[in-house]
Amino acid sequence: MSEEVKNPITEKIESTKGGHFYKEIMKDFRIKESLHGCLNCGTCVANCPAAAFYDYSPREVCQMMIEGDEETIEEYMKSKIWNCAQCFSCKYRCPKENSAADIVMTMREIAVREGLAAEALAGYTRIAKLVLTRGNQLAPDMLSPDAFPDWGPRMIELSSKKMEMREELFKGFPGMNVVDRAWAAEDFTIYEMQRIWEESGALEKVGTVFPFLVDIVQDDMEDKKEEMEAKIEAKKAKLAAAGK
Amino acid sequence: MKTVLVIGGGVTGLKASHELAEMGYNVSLVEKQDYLGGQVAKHKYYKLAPDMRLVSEVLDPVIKNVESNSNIKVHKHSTITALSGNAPEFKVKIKNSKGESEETFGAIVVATGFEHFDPTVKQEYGYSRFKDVVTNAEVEELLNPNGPTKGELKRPSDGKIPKKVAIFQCVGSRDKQVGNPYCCRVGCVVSTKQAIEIKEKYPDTEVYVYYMDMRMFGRGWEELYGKAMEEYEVIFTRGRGAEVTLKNQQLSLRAEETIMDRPIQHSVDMIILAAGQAPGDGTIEAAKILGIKQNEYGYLAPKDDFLSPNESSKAGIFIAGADKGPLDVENCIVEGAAVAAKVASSLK
Repeated sequence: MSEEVKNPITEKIESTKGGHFYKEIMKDFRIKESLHGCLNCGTCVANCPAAAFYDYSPREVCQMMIEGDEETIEEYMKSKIWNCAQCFSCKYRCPKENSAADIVMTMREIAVREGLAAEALAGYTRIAKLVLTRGNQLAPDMLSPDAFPDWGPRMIELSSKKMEMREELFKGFPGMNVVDRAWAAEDFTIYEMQRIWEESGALEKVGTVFPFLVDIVQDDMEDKKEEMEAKIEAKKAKLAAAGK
Repeated sequence: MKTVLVIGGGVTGLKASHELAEMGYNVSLVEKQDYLGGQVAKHKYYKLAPDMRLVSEVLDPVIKNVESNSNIKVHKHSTITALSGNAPEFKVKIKNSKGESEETFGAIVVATGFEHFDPTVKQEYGYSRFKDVVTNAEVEELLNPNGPTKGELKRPSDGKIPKKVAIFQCVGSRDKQVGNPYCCRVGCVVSTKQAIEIKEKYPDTEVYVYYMDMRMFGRGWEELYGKAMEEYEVIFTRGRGAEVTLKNQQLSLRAEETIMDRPIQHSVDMIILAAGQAPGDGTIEAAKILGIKQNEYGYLAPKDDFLSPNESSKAGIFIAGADKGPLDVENCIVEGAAVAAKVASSLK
């Protein structure tokens, strides 16, 4: 008997549809509202700010989910979906009322959960660290002029005296007179925030993408634990005394 | 009773009136405008696809057949305002500028037709903001030698002949965002026809058609599509027109070239929106006054789409033409004849 000759494309679709990632995405409640077939008209791509500059196509996202090819989905979760700016232009223009942006949002959550996002998000490590340790994500120091050529030559001038400018702008707001973060939150506020992340499991989730950041945050918490927990107890006592 | 009221003096109503009159019925034709011919006359349609036949060759005889028939009484500038009674004795109030009168009819034919979709609601196309974004109906008037530009495609902003023209398909059709998921059934062939007319008159003008699917199902339509590509070099790009902007007096459109998988920007001198069909105000009003069923888009719903396509939900009231859904001129005339036969057999 001669060997069976298979069409490589057909085989690919048949053999992988309905894989694990596909099922995980499809069972999310948002997908039902976000995918109603696709006319392949390209309206989403034409309106998409990300598609104009990066390797990303909202139409491909919809088509991929209709086809359900596991390999393609995995590939997308590792890279392309992270190019979406989440502006939702596709949703408000699609003649079928699909929302590639919602599909991407769902896929991103699953990618994080399934450990597929680390490489795509590596560039965000600094931002994540600042959020987890200082409570805000962007600092004037991070906006170096050479990284933002589109902001023009004025950017170079402004960045050379950012501290002076902030002092002038935020007179009487000492928390704002910093350039290594957007504003200085109080230690107690940051500690409370970190506790919430720990208790809610958010920190653990962050660990699937930035494992070493979890240690940094835990160290950060450990340093002020004694002082902060005492403050929390005092606060509790005060509330109890007030009869609340 | 051998009297029939026909509401609507477009091609469907005209054909129905004529056929009924020929069979010996007394017909009253009510038309709200002061001219006959409906949308075809209103927008001065110039040529008909796929034969490029002059509209006047079709519309003039249809109107003449009605106006010269002594069995037909034409009420122009008139509307119906109330209905009482049942089949086969309807009492209908007809209103014109002189006043209101009540007449009795054995049957009623509703041929109130469609209106062109108003693209103003598709804000991203800039219609009514940018002068050189026009509708396909406006292009019919521009191309008509009896129109405002005497048949020259002068763009509204400066009267110049455009060197690059883009046509957007499916404006207000196949679009849930505006509540019209249905196909307009004429846009593809009308745009192809207009593209050929433009290329014939101005061979140096480039014509681009942005489409999702070319639905060339009618008689001779596919051949016309082939001709547009092969003989006239009209460029068909698969991707729906998505957005129009104006920069330095230059129109710029965005779309995706879906076959090449790339977003594109394209500077053009004029954009024609192939606006689809929507049930006209007249159709919606008639349905309300007569108490007949409409479908979810406002079109009139036949009693049974397959078995009684020209009967409304109410006995003795018949429906025909583009008030039942998007339709082309050729098939409106077929509908007019079909409804006449159904009315005749019901009044026997």
